[in-house]
Amino acid sequence: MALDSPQSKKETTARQKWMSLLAGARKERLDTLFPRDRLPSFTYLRKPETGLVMLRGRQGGTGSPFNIGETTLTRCSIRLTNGTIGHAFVMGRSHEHAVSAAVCDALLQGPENAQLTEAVITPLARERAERERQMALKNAATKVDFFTMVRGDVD
Amino acid sequence: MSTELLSGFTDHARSSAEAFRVMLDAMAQPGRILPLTPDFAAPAPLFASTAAICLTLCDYDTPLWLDDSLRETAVIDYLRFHTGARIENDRPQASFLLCTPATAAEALAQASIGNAEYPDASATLIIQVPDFSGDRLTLKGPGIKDERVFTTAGLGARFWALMDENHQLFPLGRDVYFAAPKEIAALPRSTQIKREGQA
Repeated sequence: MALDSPQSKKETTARQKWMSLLAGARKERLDTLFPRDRLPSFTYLRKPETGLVMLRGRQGGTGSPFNIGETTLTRCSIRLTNGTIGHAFVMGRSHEHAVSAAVCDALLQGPENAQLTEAVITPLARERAERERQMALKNAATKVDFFTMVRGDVD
Repeated sequence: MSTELLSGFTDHARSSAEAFRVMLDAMAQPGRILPLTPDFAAPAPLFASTAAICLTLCDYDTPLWLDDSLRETAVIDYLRFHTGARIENDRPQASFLLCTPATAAEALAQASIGNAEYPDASATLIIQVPDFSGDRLTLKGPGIKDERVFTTAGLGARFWALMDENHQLFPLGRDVYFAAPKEIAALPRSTQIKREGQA
């Protein structure tokens, strides 16, 4: 984000990955992995607030973008006592989810990174990969193989 | 990592509505000085009162222009984060112009006056003044019974000449907010301004 001083490409992508996982996790699952009663103290930079965002998709052979529709989104920004800032944008209306994800984002930028990656991010990444594999399997079962029909009048 | 980023309104919905009410009253009663003391600290050199005006009025649809003395990284980051407004470099393109007494005349001269179909597309100036003492003015117009005496920071003869021109443009023209550290006042385009010592 423009708010932060430029980070290396690698760091940015790592942060994008964990922010995506935290946002994509189901709230109950995130609460199990990162219990809310053990959150460190923090102040709100922007309290959780819910709004609408337009979702975009791609379609056709050229992948031209189109608007699928709007969805509710909750965003939140917090600052830890050591000054680190964490952001979260999560789908849905759960303020608690947004707060947990923002705090987790802030902690992951600091010395707790290794411990939290192990405890929260790795399991979430594994679960997402598994979900995607299951989905791919389900989709594969409906796959239709098109083959070129040869017209009878050609010899 | 920027650690200086400060928070905005503690209770956004309620506090911004309260600030909006004060700003509305100020515009409705030109030249009346009203207290505006938001519950947060703004990054220097921005006053908390100025920040409250920006946080209440600006959003991603309203390009914001800042004069050089306010163009600090901390201020820009703060306004971008809390309002989502684009920071504009070109004065005529901006919806809100944030300036200080030294740059007010130039900003007023170049700010958008709107157009006949949309007089509301004009710009609003927010002038950050140290206090309300200096230029002594007599105001007349809507929202004022008979006359009102208004003193504000010294803004120079050119500024008041431009303000007079601005009034002549009605219904087009710009509106002006004055923000001191703890108080605000406003001069909409509809107010007739007479500077002390002038005929």
